[in-house]
Amino acid sequence: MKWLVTLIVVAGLLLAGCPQPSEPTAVETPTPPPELYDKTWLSPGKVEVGNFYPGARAEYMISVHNGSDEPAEFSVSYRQPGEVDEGYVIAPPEAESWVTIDDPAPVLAAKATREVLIVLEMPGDVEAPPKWEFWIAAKDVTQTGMVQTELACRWLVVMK
Amino acid sequence: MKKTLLAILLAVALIVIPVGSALAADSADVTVTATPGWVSITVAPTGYDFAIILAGVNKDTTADPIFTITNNSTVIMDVDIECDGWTDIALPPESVEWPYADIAAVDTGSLNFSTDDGSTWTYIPETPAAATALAAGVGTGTDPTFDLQLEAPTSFTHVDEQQSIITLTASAT
Repeated sequence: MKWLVTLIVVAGLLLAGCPQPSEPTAVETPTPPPELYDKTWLSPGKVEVGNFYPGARAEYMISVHNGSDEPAEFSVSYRQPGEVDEGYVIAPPEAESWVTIDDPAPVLAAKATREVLIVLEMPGDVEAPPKWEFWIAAKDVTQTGMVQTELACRWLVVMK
Repeated sequence: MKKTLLAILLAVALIVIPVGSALAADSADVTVTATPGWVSITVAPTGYDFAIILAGVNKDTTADPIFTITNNSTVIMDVDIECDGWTDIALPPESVEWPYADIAAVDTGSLNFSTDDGSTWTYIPETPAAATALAAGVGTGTDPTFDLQLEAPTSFTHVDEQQSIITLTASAT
């Protein structure tokens, strides 16, 4: 009976010592410069994902700020890059389906900032180039002018 | 008793080893890093009316106004430009949109931009074609400028007022 108890305890300890799935890293959001309070901005400018592989998952919170004096609805969306970093290629077309945006149409009060979770989850049975890039764009869709602005966060992915 | 113990040992081994392997594979050191930085631009003016145009006669903004992109970013940035083609802003059912293409034709016009006061003009692609670069490696505190040109259709069969939305996309270099 003592053996049995010992075995159960040892098994418990072994299980507790097993590697656990990594939790999203708690990242302290840096404080923007005060002069950007009344400007619409997106942060960060670049997210770099390393050692990625089919079946893997990566996530990051981007921040969108409404610098106007009125509430504004934003569109947060996946987009193909206009250009890519040296050594990178444009993400394969199917990569759009690997990206989940938890709030693609946030409505922000005047001067409010919202964090939006971006999750990149690659299926296990697909392939990707060694280094590829996609963008997450944020656009104030309440803009009414003929010339409008959009802000993009570049995602640079390096495969394992 | 021995059999029971062996069975328990085997069960424990079956539980521990595969779970450990699976979790190890799942957590295999994917890294996610981001450098703090804020991307922010504004543009002025936000509109321009080319007014009445003549077939085959291009119009541009080189005389006035010049569009200025105010760069509020804390990072060096690039700016891309694209548009959404033409939208007939007359009331339906008369609404007929011009085709958008880089070569003018009947009812077919395009938009170009210039960053050198009209010496050279570059076609503004229509979404979802990839946007084209308007400015690259723009340092903080530097405000790029550009002009717009309407490449008029060679002739008209539809004369409704047309509109295009131009989008400037800023990204960290």
